[in-house]
Amino acid sequence: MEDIIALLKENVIQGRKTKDDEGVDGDSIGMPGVIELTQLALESNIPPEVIIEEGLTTGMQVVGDKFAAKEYFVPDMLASAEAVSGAQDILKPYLEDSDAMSKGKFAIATVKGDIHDIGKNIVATLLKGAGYEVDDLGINIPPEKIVEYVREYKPDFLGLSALLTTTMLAMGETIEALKENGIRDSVKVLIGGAAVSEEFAQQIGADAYCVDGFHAIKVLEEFQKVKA
Amino acid sequence: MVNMEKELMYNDEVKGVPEFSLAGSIQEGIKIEIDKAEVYRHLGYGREQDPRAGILSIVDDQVCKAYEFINPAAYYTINPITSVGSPEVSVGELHFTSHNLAQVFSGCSQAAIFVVTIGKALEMEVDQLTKEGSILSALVLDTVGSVAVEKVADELESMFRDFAAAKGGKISWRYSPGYCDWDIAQQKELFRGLDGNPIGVNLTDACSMKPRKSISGIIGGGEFCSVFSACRSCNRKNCPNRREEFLAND
Repeated sequence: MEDIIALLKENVIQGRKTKDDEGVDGDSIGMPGVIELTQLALESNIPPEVIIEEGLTTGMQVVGDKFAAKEYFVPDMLASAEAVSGAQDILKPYLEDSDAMSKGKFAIATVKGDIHDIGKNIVATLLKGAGYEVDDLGINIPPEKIVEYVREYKPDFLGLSALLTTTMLAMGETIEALKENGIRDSVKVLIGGAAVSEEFAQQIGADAYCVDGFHAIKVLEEFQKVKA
Repeated sequence: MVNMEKELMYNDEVKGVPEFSLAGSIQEGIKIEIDKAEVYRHLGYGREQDPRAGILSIVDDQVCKAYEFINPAAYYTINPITSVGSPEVSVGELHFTSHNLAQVFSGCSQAAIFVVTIGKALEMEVDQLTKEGSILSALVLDTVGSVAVEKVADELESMFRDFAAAKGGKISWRYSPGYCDWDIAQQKELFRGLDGNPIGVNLTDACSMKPRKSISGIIGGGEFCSVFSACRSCNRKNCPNRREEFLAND
């Protein structure tokens, strides 16, 4: 059992989703990847919670460390996160209480007027890989739609993305709209994107500014600690 | 590049100063090659650090695929620079506000206002990959698109450079709204100078371009042109667009 979990962790680090992926050195083709190993672990009666915590999550932590050390870059990190995401989809039906395994519900959107998609998708994929239940609302999402969503689906966290100086103002409008509707305190608001900064986050009353997806994970962990 | 030179004509009345024709020109059939090393760099990898095997093969696949989806086109108009104050700069009937643009135009008498694009097919494929959950492939193809459109702008710039050189002149840096102190909202003014460009690039209310993989901007030309770079005096040391020669001293 330990072998399967160790292999699983190693393949998460290598970003090998399936047996067809090349991994770091390119000599692993044909060896089982994260998807095959997850299935094998289930067949070997390893509890899904153990597969997630000891295989997937610890693997992603190493990926995060490598990213921080500039040994890994965004594509490497995405390869790992996509592999983990695939494994989670397999495991979900086997979890007795899938909500208990989720670290919280994270809604993410690119704000009104902004059509940039990629950065938001990277963060969404990474957060999903880190164990959050992620709802991607899309691009060019007006404040009223976000208010409607928060009211109905009650996410724990809301991530707002904007790339331009012309569109970042819509982040402030979104936070104001949450306030006006009396639901600002129901959700932690995190912002990110090329044009925004820590100062801007404070100015518009966001709860945090995140430089990138891994920073967002750290910020979320801090929130969890405070909550606990 | 096809037939670009013949579209450009000098006005020989002013000796020594290259004068472009005032007519706008469409350039189609531009051929570009994607430099994979440039794709790695845009993905965050360093100059001496190629991606590992698993990522290299994704880049190879997406570069190969990208050629099907890239349809380069360029459009430009040539305008006299009528006044350079700082920060007010007038180009023909257009008025811009940027200290840096004023510096860029020091020594220039004319300006090419341009827009280039690779069209919308590539980003439709990026959206499709995203829908399928292939975020990594989507990111790589999107990055290939960014490198491709830069390359189209480089081709146009190089054409202007050759053209100016033939008359003993020079060109300035390429500069775009949204760079440094030039407000991206001035895209609207810039687009006014593109005669409702016939290559189909449109501005959103927030001044993004559609197709996304497009570059608009301005290049000065004249007897001499400054080699001013805004990075020299800029304090944003972590700016992703910081020119390489200014990184070493940080």
